[in-house]
Amino acid sequence: MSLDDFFHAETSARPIGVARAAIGIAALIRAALQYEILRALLSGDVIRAKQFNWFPDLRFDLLWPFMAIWMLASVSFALGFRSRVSGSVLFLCLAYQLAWDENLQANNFYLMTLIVFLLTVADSGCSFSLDRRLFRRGPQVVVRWSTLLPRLQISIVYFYSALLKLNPSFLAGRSITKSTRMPELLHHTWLPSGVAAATVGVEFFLAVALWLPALRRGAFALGFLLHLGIFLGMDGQHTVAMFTFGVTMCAPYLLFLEDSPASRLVIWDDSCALCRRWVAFFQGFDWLKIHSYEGSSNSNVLREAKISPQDADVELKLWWEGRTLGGFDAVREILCLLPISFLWAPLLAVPPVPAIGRRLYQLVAERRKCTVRTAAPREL
Amino acid sequence: MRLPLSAAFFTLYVAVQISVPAVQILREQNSFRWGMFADSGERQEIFAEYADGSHESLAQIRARTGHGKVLRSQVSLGQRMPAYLCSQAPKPVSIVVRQAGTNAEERYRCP
Repeated sequence: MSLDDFFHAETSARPIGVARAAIGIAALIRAALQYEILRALLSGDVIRAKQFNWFPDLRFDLLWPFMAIWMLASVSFALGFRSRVSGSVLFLCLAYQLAWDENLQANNFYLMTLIVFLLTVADSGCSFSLDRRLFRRGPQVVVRWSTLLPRLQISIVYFYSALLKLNPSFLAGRSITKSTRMPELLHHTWLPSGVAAATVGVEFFLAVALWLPALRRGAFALGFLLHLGIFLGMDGQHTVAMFTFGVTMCAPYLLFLEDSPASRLVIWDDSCALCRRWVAFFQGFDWLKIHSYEGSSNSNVLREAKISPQDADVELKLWWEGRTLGGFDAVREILCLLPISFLWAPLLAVPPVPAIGRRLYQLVAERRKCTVRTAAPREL
Repeated sequence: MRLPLSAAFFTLYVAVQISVPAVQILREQNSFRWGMFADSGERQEIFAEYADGSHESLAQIRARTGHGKVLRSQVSLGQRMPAYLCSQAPKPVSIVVRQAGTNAEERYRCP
């Protein structure tokens, strides 16, 4: 691939649109926490650690207007309304605080600022947005290099985060015992140092594995478990920050889902009421539009996918690039590409889940009532 | 024109994001380097020394005044605290910043 190809290549704008919505919501939630932080800073309880003496202070009486602008920009960014403007305003609100005082330079906050900046530059309002509904026409694509930057950013964060944890204090588990809810009873066991070592290992792994297709799904699941563990495990004062940090780190994972829209075909028994509900669920959350859905009564589709009508009526089928999966495996594969489930769905491949899942699927399939005789479900 | 701009932005952004944490680590500064919970935040012990020869730790001063907190454990206390503590009452004569676990210490005379 030449440099020219690299900087002109395009990709679906849907993943970055969904990531933008997630980051907008995270920024809104973060505002609630940051209000308390700013209030503490402005009330004088906290030692001021100004970055630059010439930098203008936020006056206490302007705190509420400042927060209102931040929150409005977050909502607008999440909805994708005037995304470039709202993203720029949100970025300025966050960047102002980072430049103002060392007390505000939390890494998770800095990361959110960078991701908002990158999503704004990347024209994330091109898809999954009010901008698309109201103003924009044309293909829902963005230049691919702009989606690489948020991905590179989180890899850099994982790498440095792991690197800096390679110190005797962290590896001895001191941060774990100090900052988590781990019961004191366990503080003098191997567990704190074990958790510390595992954290470093997982972070180094994520920095690399997200880029390797063979390891990517494992990386999604591990990243999900890492951030869930951080959110649930950290002590109370960090809960909100760690939730928004988890969202900020995991939202760019979506950008690794580069399957083209409508590149996978789901064939389902359109005479079955239960199947209809499942397919409606999948369609409702298939925000990346990677799948197209066809009923098994469509003989043209069955012929194209080389699936017999009998097979199609026995279980849900997923067909792409000449590959066919059925039943539980098809459901798992679909979930691996839905924004609401792609992080945890890879865990459904961990034994003995597939065996249990296939048995359950079979039980449900045998008991379902096939009473609906309709065409494909409504396009959502 | 569009391509060189894109290429410049991409390259510059990645270079900055790789080099800033590296420089911060080399300078042993704590901001913008992704050191999330990487240490216990107990790098320095800080004391105020008074004219009568007594001294008080930062924790004791915080407990007494209810002020003097920081919002992040990574805030460089050694750099920020002396000026703050020198402005408190009773006025100390000097502030001692000792690196945790070592005998290395720096002493700041209050003006």
